[in-house]
Amino acid sequence: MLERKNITSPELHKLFFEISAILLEKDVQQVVDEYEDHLIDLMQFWQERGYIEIYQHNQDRVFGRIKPSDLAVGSVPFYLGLYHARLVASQNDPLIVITFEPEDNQLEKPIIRFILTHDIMFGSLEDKHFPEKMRHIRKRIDEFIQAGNA
Amino acid sequence: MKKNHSLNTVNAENARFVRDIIALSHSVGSVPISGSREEMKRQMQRLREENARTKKYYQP
Repeated sequence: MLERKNITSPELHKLFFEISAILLEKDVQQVVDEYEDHLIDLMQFWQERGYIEIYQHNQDRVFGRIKPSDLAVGSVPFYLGLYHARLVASQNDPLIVITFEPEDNQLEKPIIRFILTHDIMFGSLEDKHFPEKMRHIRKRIDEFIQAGNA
Repeated sequence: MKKNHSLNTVNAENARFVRDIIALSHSVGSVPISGSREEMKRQMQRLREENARTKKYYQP
């Protein structure tokens, strides 16, 4: 069964490109070159429709639909209110992470937060260095934001 | 090495990590991006330039 969220125009997190670059271990221009057009496809699709469809089962997965990120075991409370979607229709990775903010008239504002991979979002069981890598990335993003606030 | 993960289970460390990134960056805010494809590209370019100019965010 599909749920539908009626939306205002999608917004992009101000650090979308910068955080995505850190998470994907690319530079900002690479992220732009590889994913900007796909991002625009999605945003225009949602904007023209005025709603976003939410699916729960993989057989309902279609480009433009999003999935609640809190369905998997162990995802609560961390992923409550988070949604994800494939950024490129034909590829399993990468994903974009989306949150919503309530607006007037029962509309919700979708905010596209960043790009990441399944491995980062759901865990890589065989990568023993991943916790260390995550700490490093978190520190980098924190320093990044602190620099911006300075 | 081939990585392996199940979408039926989330590694708690990964989930905490992603949630932390959301929380860390929450106060930064978001901007509307709309219009034609070229207009959207220009708005996103301006956003990156603004980050680079005023907030030292840009890291090539």
